[in-house]
Amino acid sequence: MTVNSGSGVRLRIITLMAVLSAGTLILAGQLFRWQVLEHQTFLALAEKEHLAEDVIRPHRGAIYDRNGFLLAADTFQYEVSASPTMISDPYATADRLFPLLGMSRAETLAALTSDAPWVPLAREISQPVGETILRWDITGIQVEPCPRRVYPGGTLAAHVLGFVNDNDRGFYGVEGYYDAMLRGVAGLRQGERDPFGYSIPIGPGQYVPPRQGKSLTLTIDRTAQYIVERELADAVARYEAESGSVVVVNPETGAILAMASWPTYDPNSFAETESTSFPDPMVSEQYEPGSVFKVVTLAAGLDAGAIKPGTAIYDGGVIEVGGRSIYDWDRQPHGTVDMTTVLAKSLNVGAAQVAVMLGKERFYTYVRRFGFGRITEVDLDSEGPGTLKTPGDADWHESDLGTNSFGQGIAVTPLQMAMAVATIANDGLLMKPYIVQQIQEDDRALWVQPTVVRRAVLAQTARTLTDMLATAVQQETELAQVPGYRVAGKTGTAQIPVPGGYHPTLTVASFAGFLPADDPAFVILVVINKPKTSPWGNLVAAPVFAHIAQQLVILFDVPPDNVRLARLGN
Amino acid sequence: MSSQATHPVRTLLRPGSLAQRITWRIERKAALGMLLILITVSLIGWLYLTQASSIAATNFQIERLRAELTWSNQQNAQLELEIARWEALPRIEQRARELGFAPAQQAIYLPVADYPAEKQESGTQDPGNQ
Repeated sequence: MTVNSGSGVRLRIITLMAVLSAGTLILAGQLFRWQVLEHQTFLALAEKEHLAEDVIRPHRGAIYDRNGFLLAADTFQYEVSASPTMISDPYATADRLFPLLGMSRAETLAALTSDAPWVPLAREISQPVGETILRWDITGIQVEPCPRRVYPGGTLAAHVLGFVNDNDRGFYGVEGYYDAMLRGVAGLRQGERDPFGYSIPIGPGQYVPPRQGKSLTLTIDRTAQYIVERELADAVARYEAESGSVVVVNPETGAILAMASWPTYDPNSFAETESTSFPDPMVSEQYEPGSVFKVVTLAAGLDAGAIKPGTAIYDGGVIEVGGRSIYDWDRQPHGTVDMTTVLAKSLNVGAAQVAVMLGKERFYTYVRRFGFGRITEVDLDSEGPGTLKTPGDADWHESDLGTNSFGQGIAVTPLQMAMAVATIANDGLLMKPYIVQQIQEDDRALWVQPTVVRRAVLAQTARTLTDMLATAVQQETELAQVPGYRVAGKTGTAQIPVPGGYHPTLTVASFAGFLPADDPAFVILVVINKPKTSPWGNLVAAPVFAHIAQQLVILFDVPPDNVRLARLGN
Repeated sequence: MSSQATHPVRTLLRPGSLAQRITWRIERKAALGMLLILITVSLIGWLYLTQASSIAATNFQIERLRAELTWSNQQNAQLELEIARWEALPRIEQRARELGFAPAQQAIYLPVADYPAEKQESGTQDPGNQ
């Protein structure tokens, strides 16, 4: 009995010890798991309780014109929000706030008495109002400064600049292309916080300062831009056109001095604008250039030695290329004409004959040399390459050689066309167009250097063609002439492709030219879409060119030819 | 008399009294040690608090200066924008017209006798070169 009782006690003790040991083991295991295996997880959880991280938003870089005038910059507005549970007297608070926030008293009171832990009250509050509410220091009312992009010129250079949305993301134009550079890199403030959220100054923490966005200086001259935009808007209204574009380029460097499209929009209120207005037609939209493209065809013919300015051809008013009949614009025979006359009278038959003389291989080689069929790599967002069909492509046809020679069946962006004409003005060197000339970060400035893409034609070819273009303007495009200056240029009147052919009446009227012809200061391309008063480039686009050029020679201090040549002759 | 004279010696030589005095000396040393430790700890504490307070004050000042810098930058940006608005071309054009100015139609170049000739390839200002 005693033996039995003793063994029972021992058994109980052993059982108890086993249970306690198992419990201890479980506890030790759990402790090991928490302290060792999941140490980092729990450490992070603990730190999260008392550590706070503030992301410091960098200041977005400003954008200036070439002379240092501000085109885009950040300003600060305030966002006002409330934590209703922390507000001691919502009625008195609502009475104070509602006149400043542009809300009704009932709305404000409803927000301040709601059950939500946080409610936004108003955005885009002006600085004086925001600072007044800040000074009141009402518990439960938060006033946070938030940057807002402002374009002080309004619609000035809207397509060039693009816009920035509420999340500080740039879209289109320079804002889109240089978004990462302008935006900068956010900073970080990390440290221990007390229960009220205030930082503990002697606790562990780190401060990583934000890297502010870089500022950009454009090649754009805001006065030239203003002139161009005003003239373009006037022209679109005067000729009852649908839209239009103008670009002014320095042919020697490729710097874009002014670039405008109409209709435009105000980037300050991009949210109220149709999204179709955002892309810059100058780089995003393509059009058939029409006769302005003859500049490329004749440059190719001259450079390849296929023609000379005096080369005579017979123009019977029609020619068949690849089984397709090509007519002159007036459907009349012009007899035997030289190449300058082909340009002056804008004869499609003549241009087609030059292309045929060159042959398809050489013709399209030159077309590519002038930069068509690929993007210009201008530093603007959303650039398109245009459409160029070449031999070997499934949709290319022999007749395309004829039609492409006078700018039909090929689609280009206005900037591509302007750069091709600028190549002639720059002694045959194709430059890469650019719009940002300086990038500034703190006290360092990086200047963008002009870039030569390639030599498209020989310098002599370019000079010969310039002379022909100047003669053509003198003979046939009176409205493009600028008193005192020899202008070289070419008109274009292109039909608009529609499904199944071309629109019977609507056209794209254009003119591309430069002056002074012997030492070009700038190239101007004017494109007017669907003018109603007249379809012709020489009547619609050429006068716009002249009006703009007359003002730009004064702005850029380009003396008339006689003064300039006399000065050089001294 | 003699017994009175010898009393202090005896007292001194009493074992109990010696032990008491040794204990007292030890206690005094311990107290001094403790006091020294207390003073050292207090000094370290005082130094720590002084440092912490100085760091806190400096941190507060840094925060205040950062806030001031941000505010100044904001004000600067605001003023720059204000200037840009005043410099807007439509405003300048309107003001110029109010003052009686008109758009220039033509620039007139006057020949200056014996003016040093510009021996350059291009006689025009290059608007795209900076």
